[in-house]
Amino acid sequence: MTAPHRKEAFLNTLIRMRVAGSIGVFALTIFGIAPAAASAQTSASRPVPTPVATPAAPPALEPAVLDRMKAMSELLKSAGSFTFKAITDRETPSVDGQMLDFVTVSRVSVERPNRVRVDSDGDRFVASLWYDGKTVTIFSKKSAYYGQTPAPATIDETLQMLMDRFDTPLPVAVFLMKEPYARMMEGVKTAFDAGTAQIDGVTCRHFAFSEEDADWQIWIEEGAKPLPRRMAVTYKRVPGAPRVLVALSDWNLSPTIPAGEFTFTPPPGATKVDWKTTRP
Amino acid sequence: MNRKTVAAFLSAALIASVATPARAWVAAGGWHGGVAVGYHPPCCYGGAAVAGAAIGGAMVGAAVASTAYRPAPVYYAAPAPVYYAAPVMYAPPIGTVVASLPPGCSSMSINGVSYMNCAGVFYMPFYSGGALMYQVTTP
Repeated sequence: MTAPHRKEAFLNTLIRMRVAGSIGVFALTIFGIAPAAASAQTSASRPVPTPVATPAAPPALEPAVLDRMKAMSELLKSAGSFTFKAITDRETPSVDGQMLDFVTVSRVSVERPNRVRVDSDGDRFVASLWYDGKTVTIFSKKSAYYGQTPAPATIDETLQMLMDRFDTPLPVAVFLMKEPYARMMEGVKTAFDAGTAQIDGVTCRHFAFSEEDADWQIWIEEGAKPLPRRMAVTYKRVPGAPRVLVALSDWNLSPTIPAGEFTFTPPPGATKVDWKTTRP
Repeated sequence: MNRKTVAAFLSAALIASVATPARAWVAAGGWHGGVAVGYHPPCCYGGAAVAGAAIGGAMVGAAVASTAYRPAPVYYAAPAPVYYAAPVMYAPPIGTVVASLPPGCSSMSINGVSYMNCAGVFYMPFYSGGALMYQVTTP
């Protein structure tokens, strides 16, 4: 085949493709319109109940919800340092089917990119965490023992390590990370707006999300400061579908953090003990 | 959310071996790291009853399918059971993990290793799952 012939063949192929494309569009039009046209013809020929207009199903991920989540994420990202309080209520099913709740109150201080302090008190998790960019320390003030482990250089990596390898319960971890929005929306299949709610006298927007293993909800403050005020996670694949509820308050996005907040100084007489990893 | 991030909400808080209210025991396992946590009754049960529960719980926890109580607890991972209330009255088996000690313990160090000596029962402190635990051991 000579060059002009090849060119002509190519053009012909292009034309065929375009025609095929037009037919495709035409077919879509037919199928899209056909039911409406058919029902119009049917109602003209014999009486049927007036068809009720069904509104289009909302998208699985409502854009307004995603926008507000992004706004929350941006607000948290914009704060170089911040502090807040989290009250975590963990439902724990007994074999009798009775739910028991264990409550932990935590005060969290963050200084991006590499400092975190958490002080927790409550039914089960009574310990403080210090992350100074190099080391993580865990210390229960009820004891004279502390544990330490070398830490990665960033908050994200350190929290991930604590959750993955040390099985440390950190329900607020996503708020401390570099990209809260991306972290939170990973694996989300549906997102919808469940309306407004009052939390501590503040109007919040209530959003609901579903994932493969868990459903979760978040309440975000209305207005210029889209802060998370409450969170709820339902573990729908776990027997009894236990929930973890987190109330968030006392947000301060420009705190005065005392010197030494992120540095652990062992109290006199305290000794270092093993901090066991649950996974390698 | 990241599967692990979501799991971390629940971490070390699961699944159970409560038998009767008087032996109100919860074997709570982490989403991946199983721990059995004994539930301290909110009221009305004396130390001895709690201690009994601890031992009963220990047995059930250790042998998950024990016939001593009704349903076998479900563990998501091979558990090292953790008992919230300490076994007070009986010598707990070596390897038992508790989240709180009986009263009257003294701390000591043997060859640089820390122990709590509770009436001759030695507990080795360690951190796990975000909390301080003690494991019954021989120094």
